[in-house]
Amino acid sequence: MNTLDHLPKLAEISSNSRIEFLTPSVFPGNHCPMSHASKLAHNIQGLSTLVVGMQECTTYSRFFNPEPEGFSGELHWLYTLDANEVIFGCRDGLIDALKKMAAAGAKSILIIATCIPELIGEDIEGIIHETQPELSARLSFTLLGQFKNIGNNSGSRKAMTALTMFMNTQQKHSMSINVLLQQSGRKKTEAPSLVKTLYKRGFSLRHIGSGSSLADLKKAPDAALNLVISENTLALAVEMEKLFGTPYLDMHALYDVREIDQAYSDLAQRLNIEWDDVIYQERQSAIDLEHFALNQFRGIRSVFGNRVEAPVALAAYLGRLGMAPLLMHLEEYRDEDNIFREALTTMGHTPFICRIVNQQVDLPILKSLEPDIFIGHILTDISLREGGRFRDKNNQFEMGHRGGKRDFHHRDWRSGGYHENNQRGKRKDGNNHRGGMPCMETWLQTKENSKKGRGSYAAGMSRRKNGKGRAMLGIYESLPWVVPYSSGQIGYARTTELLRNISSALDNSDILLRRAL
Amino acid sequence: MGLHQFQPPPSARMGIFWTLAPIGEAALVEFGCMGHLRYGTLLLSQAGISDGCKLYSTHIDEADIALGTTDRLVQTISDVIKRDQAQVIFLQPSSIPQVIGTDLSAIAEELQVQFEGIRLLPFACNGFSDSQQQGVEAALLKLVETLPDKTETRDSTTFNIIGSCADIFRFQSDAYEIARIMSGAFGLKPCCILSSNCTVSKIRRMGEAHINLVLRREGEAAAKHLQQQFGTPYVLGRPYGIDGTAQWLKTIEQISDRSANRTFIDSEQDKASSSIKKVSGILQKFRSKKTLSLGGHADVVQGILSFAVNELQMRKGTCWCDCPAMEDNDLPFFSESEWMKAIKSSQNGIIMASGEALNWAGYNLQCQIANPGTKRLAKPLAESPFVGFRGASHLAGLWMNTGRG
Repeated sequence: MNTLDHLPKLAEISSNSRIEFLTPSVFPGNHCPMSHASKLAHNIQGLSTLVVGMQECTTYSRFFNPEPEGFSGELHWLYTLDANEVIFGCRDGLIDALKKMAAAGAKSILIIATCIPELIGEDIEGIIHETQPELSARLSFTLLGQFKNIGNNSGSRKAMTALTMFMNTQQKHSMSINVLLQQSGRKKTEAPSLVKTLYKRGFSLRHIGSGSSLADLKKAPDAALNLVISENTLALAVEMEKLFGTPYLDMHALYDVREIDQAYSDLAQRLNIEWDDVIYQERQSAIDLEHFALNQFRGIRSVFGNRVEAPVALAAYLGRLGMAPLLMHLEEYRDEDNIFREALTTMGHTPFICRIVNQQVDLPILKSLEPDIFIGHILTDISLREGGRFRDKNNQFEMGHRGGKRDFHHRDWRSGGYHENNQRGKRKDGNNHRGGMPCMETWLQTKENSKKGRGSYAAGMSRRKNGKGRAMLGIYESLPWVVPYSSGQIGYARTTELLRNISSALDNSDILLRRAL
Repeated sequence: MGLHQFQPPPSARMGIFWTLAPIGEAALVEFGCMGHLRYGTLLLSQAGISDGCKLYSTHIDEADIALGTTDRLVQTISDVIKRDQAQVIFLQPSSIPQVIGTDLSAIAEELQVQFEGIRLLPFACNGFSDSQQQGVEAALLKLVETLPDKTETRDSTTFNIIGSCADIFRFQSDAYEIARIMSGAFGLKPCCILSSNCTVSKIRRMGEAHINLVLRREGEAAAKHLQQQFGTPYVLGRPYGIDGTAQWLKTIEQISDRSANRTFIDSEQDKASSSIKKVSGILQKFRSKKTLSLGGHADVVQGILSFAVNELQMRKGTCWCDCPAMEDNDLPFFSESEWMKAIKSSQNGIIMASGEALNWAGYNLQCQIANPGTKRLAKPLAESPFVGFRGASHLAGLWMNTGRG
């Protein structure tokens, strides 16, 4: 059997159910959705959590939310089901646990239910309805069985959406804007120029996501607009529009300059502002690079790997520039991908769709497709253990895989920004502990790569490009690969970064030379 | 179970996983959601296990659950056989197949016909109440019941260690110290260290060993089976302290009918005694004022306590074990709230417990004797052991520095 025979093409996909693994044996596989939900909750000041599940899930949640007590009195406790509760449900035990947490000082509790509570159909929503009147603590929940939610993106998305339960209806302020960004916490990035521009225009900006506070969440519905700049926050924006009538502008999947033009124009009209030179300069850079890419990318065959944000939208954009996707890893297929699927199909691109769950085994298969470029994070820490190494294009040196230290420094990932106002994020030992975003003021002043040498764990070469962003690209056994963008920018600046990174990766390989010959 | 502030007692599934994962020349396929294995692997790396089994998950989705299909398991086994040189594939269910009642043993039996060239070994727990210790015990027993080859030959120069598993803190360095002592005292070398440093081939040869050293009570059932099967005698216990280790060696002499190398033992005793003498003055100062409280695996706690009280005349504080099935009158089992209370009330003493508990209470993390911990062991064999002569010096040094502070 051909190794790709079992894979559907993009045109045949309309939901997650048809997406198959490229190879069946999973190692190490995706993160559990509980992981990002725990991480998110850990990074929201004032929010307590209760992870509900079997011993494995509750134990492993400590990788992402390591302390039972947060710096602002948050409680991060665990509820483990016993044999009896697996059969008859954990309703009484859970109610008792919530009461104990409220009595111990938890002000708001997010219940993160893992596989078994979801499998046995525990009615956590009913438990909350029943218990809420008796408790001073606000309750919310998210069901995150991995058998329904294969990856951490759905964990982030659902946990973000669950935050609406902590929001209060507010009077709208025309100068208030929520920036919806699910920051992974691994990298301290510069605020997007769009956000900086809005700040300079006197808008009151509030970050909603990892790194914000419960107080921010409560006041969030007062915003005149939700600006969606990362994919896992779109569902939150949709929910907030439904519950509080807060309109949103979705920027997360916009790469094409014409589409960004439209979005910026909408935004300017809505906020009654005009854009300044910074934005126009960014636009011009993006247009110049698009023109260049139209020539350079034509006929380039790509494979999309792990951890690419909005991959179908990105493939559709690169398809318009002439790049043909051969195979794509899709952790999830979402409804909003339909339009991009149609666009790709119309262009004649019908890539194989799969989930890459064992990179060590899957990479040779991907390589056998003879793509010109691999887009995404190419290897995990495990590969180093198995001897994975990277070379530059001239084979002049070998670079160890920084990701190989990933497990070792696992707890050190959460070393992103911190909230200056209350010094949250400071450990007892004095090190920054919290991940996620810094408070808005700190974020706006953050310089790119202020934590040089830390934060990104993609393998291979990393280098600055004209002081703008950090291109992560490399060569894996003659296959050039690139992380499309990582600077946290949005709009024109992100398109510029994306095109520049891919262009650099192609420049560093001998593809263009081979074609010229 | 119920509400916990700290990590709950691990499940039997986790105990089985930690026992099997370090075994080389094998693959472990977990039938269940992939997150289990991903983070299980992370825990192993924290314990310093970087080789051993090839680990795979099948993943399971809602369609598999609704229809009860196990196609993923078959596909994964087939894929693993094609790629890996494993002699045995261990099959383990995660919590979901256990809830929906997937009969992994029956499936393995059925699949064994399909995959004749490789041994499929299913490991399943009896229920959700089983503890980690029961999981370890069941896994050790099943390994020795199924894998060792029948043999009439005896290799009088080898011994086995049973029960050196990843759930015990510093299990590798403890096993290494025991191997060093056995080599020096009897000229014996390890045949199989089950399961921290072993391969399927080594387990197959377990029946040839001259004696079995059982480091924890969970390994006794396995040792009894080997005794029945091959007539191999066994010694149960962990050697702590100078006199304790000497006594343990005497027991081995008697059971194995071999004479120990007195020169080696005297030399080791002298070295350990002289290092303890250096700290005895400082120990003397706080001996009357401070107590030693210990929490962890029952065998570890009892062993360390015996050294401290009998050989160094230290005062016993509050001691507890982490498994209800192992408690007795002298060593109760403490739940989370009980050990939190005990640690809080032991203001003027030395606490040795899990890294998580010590971290919470702000105590010296060097005094960790149990898991869960807070850091990864990067070089497990470079860590000082707790058992044997070197362990005695190590412990005395720890107490001196901690007690003085």
